[in-house]
Amino acid sequence: MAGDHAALASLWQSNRRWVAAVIMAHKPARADLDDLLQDVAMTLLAKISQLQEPAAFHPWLRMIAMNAARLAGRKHAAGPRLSSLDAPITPHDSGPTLAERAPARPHAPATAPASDEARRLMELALELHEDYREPLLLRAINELSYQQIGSILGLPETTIETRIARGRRMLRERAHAAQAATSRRTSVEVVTEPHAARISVDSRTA
Amino acid sequence: MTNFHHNLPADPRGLPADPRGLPADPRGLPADPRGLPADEAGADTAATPFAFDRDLLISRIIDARAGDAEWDSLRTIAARDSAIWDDLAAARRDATDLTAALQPALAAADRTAMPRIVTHRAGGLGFSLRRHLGWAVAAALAMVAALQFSDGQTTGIGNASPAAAGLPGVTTRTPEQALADYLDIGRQAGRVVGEMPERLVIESRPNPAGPGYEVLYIRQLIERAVVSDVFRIGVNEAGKKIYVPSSVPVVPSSVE
Repeated sequence: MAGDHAALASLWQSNRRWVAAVIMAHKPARADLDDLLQDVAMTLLAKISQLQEPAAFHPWLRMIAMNAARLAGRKHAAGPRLSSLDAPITPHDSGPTLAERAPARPHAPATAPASDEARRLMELALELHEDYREPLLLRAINELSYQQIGSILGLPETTIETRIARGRRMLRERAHAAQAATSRRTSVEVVTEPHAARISVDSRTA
Repeated sequence: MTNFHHNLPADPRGLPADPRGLPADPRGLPADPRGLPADEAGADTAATPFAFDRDLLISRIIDARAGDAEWDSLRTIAARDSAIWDDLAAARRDATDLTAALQPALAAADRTAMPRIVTHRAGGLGFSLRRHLGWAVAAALAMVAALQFSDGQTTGIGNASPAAAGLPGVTTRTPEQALADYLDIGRQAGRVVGEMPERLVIESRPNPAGPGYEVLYIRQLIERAVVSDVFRIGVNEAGKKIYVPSSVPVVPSSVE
């Protein structure tokens, strides 16, 4: 059993990064990625014995990740939950909260925060059709070949290349359009600023 | 552009095939409302393949998959249209930014370990644990709130005694027996539905008292209650926790 767990842990370790990219491509913005990754890991643990064909592992695991992300989408659509991690376990306010009682997550390694520009680009990428955003995010991991991405998505390598190329072009166009819209707003602010300054001076002299 | 498509699949235009038989968009047309490019929306695509080749070319260059043929093609295109350098630079920057934006997600993946679960079948209940666990916690909290606000004036909760449940003279010798008694009495009183089959391990470590491991785990009991009101826990202007009346969406059961 210990050997089984070690093998499974190793299998998870070698696949969890692309699983995160798949979840990112399908989850609602508010859903917590850590929770969904944990869900996928637990499902993998519980259902790996049901996998008949080892060659189908990648598409199978991707489907688990997609289902977890979509289930999170339905949960968010259903409305807020009544429980809160800040709520005390006991009805008395002095008791420990659920968050305090929860086992601590492994220490999160420090990662350089993405720039605002990078975050905006990610938001634009997530607006692309899933046929394009998913291979695009998988490619952005920088660890997977087109063939490996094709194995995960169950598509030929040539299709992956086409979708990534198209996705990049669509993303470029959207980023350009967003930048143009921002420039227009900035121009309006520059035009109105002198008026604001003059009104301020006038009010002081009055 | 003599042999740019030498290693691409055989498409009459030298374009990679789409498995759904959709033609590639040669014109860089804007996306349709679903976010699909014009080709996937079924638009006419009879124009030249130039623009699409350009996308593929740029993509290959920033992925370091371009060979001599691709670089030759880039020079040829750039001689006619220098804007390709801008597109190439923008695509390179986008790829870098997208990778940077994905790093927090990858870091989250790196710290997600495979959980250890000790499975004990208890009673063979067919509940879908994970789907209902959130609501079980929510219901428990709400029930606590309801109990507190109604000053114990609830119906159907915790009123069963062994005698009332028809099990007089219960004697408890071990924790397991005590729990089994609780489950039996609770079932008869209508308070206990059952125990979830899985036990969730939250911590394990070498046994400090000897060989083996010390494992901390959660046993999950499902109870039912009828309450007059349901509350959620909120915070007032002073930052103090308050109980706010709330409605509960109907959640269908998945008992098999």
